[in-house]
Amino acid sequence: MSNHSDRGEANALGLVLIAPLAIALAVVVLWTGRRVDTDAQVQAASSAAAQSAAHQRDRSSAVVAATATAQAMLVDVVACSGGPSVSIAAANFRPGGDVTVAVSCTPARADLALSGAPSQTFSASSTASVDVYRSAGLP
Amino acid sequence: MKRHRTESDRGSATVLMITLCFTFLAGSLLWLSRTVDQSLDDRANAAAIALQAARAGAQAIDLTSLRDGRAAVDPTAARVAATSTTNRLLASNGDSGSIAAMSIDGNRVTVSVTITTTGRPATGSASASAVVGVDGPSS
Repeated sequence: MSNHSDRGEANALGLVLIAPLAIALAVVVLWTGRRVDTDAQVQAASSAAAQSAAHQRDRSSAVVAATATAQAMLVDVVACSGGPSVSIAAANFRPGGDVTVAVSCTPARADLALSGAPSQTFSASSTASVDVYRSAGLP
Repeated sequence: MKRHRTESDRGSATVLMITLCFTFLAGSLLWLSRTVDQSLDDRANAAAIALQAARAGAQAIDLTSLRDGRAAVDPTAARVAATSTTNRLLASNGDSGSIAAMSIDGNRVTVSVTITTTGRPATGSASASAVVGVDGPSS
């Protein structure tokens, strides 16, 4: 009698422990998966934005192209709520020079708010070289 | 009395084991996600740097060939340009790595870059070729 009662108690305790831990584990899986995904997206966007900036003819259109590319690639609200912030270092934008684009994103956390996931900003920067031989019209 | 104590001990051992299991599982998940994240990042960076290096190499054109209306890549200058671009971009990312392989086949420059920042090498390769004119054949 006493044996039965004890075993039941131990199992209940185990279940009470297992359930929250399993949920916590699932949240950790979600959280880390999303982290990896967002990081990869931001990295790809900065690389593409640098490429498209390097193909432009002048500094101002390089800025426009990099911003447009980054925004077009980071439309995913979960990965990048409110759109990316793009900064461009085009001081060396001349034939044979290079252009660096930095992209940063703050993912939406509303659906993971209960888990207490901290708000985090992901950023990546990429550099692309500007062609040496180009048509006239460069600064 | 004695049996009761034994059962109670078994219960707490189970609880301890479950907690330990989940802790290790969560820890290894975090470690795995960080490793995957870093590897993806390195691989994307290696591919981007290889592309820039290949483009820089393909633009090292033998100037005398331009007078004949064709563009021939100067292999020596291409190697120098690709190497310096790789080193510059690796340094700007704060990564350590090197060119794993470089081949110049006619006007086509292929570069493989390996990043070894984390001890798990990540390789990316890309190629670029020099063509004349904006609508030249993309061979």
